[in-house]
Amino acid sequence: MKRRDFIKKSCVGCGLVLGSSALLSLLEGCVSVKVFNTSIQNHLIRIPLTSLSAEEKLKIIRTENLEYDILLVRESDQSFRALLMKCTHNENAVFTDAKGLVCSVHGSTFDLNGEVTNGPALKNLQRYMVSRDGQDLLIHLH
Amino acid sequence: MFLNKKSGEPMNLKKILFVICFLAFGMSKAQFLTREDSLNAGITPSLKSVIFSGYGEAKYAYDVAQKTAKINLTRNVLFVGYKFSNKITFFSELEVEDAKLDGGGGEIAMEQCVLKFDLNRNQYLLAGLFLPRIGLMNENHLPITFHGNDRPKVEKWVIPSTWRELGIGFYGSSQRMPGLNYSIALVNGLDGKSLTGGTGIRDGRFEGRDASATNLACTGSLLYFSGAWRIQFSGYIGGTIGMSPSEAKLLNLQGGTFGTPAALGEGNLSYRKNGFSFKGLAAYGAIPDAKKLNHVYQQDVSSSFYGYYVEGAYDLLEKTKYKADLKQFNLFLRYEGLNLVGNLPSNAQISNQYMQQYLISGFTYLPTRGVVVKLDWNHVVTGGMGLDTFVKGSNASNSGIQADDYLQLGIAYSF
Repeated sequence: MKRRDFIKKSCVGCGLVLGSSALLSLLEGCVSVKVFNTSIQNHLIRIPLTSLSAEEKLKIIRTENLEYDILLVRESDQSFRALLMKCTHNENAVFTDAKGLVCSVHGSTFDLNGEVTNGPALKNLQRYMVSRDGQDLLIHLH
Repeated sequence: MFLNKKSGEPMNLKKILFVICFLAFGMSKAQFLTREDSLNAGITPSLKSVIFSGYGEAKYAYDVAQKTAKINLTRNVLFVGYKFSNKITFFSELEVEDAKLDGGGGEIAMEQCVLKFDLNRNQYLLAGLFLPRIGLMNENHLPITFHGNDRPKVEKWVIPSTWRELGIGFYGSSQRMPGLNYSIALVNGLDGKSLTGGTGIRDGRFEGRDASATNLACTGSLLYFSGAWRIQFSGYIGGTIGMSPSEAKLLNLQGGTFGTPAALGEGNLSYRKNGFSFKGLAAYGAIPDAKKLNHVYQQDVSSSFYGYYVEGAYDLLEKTKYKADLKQFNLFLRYEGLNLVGNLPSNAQISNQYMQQYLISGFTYLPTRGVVVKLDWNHVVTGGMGLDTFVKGSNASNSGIQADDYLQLGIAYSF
């Protein structure tokens, strides 16, 4: 086999491997995140724990008053964090692919802690405190 | 002159500076307040806010064959946005290229000037001068996001980034399939008489100035993110003749909205995880009636052209303590191939210098997020004598050689 043919075939082989793994990985990512509609009262968002199933790791919290959604992330059975889904670069809305958050306009990415994993965003996503009040979760917008 | 209100005497410099700083601070606090800040502060929400950012880059380039060097402030761009309401936002980018504009070159141009209308949480409209989603670099061309001092050549000559036109675009993301984004836009068409051989469709762009709306263009994209992966397909088709159908007929050209069309399609894939990153892109352009255009305008236009590139990089600081300080030191290698000669009609002649291959390697060092120092070594080979194509994009301007090397060192920032 000539060297040029070998390089060509190697490149095609690498391409196929890369393409296949990309496709598998892409299909794995098809997890939809449910939306919970609610409202703000006294700078608090109240979410009944009954609205979150045990296996649900992420929930999008949507209110009319806030122009961006909030991503509620389950850290453990008792612990949650809340991230404002607003890119810190140019204030475009970010979306979640269940593995992190992405701004489709300029490509900034954030992990589920809200930390920048890829620019151009410089700052992490805004986080809100989450507390328990009986059978409800409270997101504090203060 | 600033006078003291009580005594009427001139205020000293310190006092003046204090007053200016106080006013500036007060104004900035007032104007940059976002709705969330207002909510957090427990005060009446203020919908209006200003967004201000920018980016720029400068580079030193040494041409090995010529033994000459140049240094240039490649560009500085100021971005200003304004939120009129929670549904309507203004975005603009004003670019100064090569530090100043005079007879010797340089450019001052609007790169974007657009209103964004949010339809709901997942969909919005753009209206004005905007950058369609095509290729990896056109929409997102900040210098801190790509390796090497120059943007990939394929995304300059095959996809003519930064490519902006006037029109209206519809953008959205799927709720059923998170990660899937789509866009479709209607913009002004190209200027057929300005198309030139060896530059693809680049010279036919209007870029917002007195564009023909007799001919239009349609562009669309599908973009999917999943974890470390990003994959995109996009396309463009548009008319190139901005004259009345009767005038066009006299010239044996097809007028109308999509008459004498130009088309461009591309696909790209990128991956980023654990310090490793990979990008690959392929693009193909076509002007089926190039022969007719050449007959009228004698510009040696090709009926097809294409390009591709692959790039791999690794961040050496990924697994070190410096990662926590937001530092990166990426080593990268990129290979690019362009064929701007493509299928040449019988009435056109283009030098094979427009068939080019590049091998680019170097490092991209980010001492902190938003600031980058870049070093790259470029090896270029063309299919024919002459490297004139690089005059605009690089330091080389050699007409008697087929291969060259050049070294570039640059700085860039984005905030």
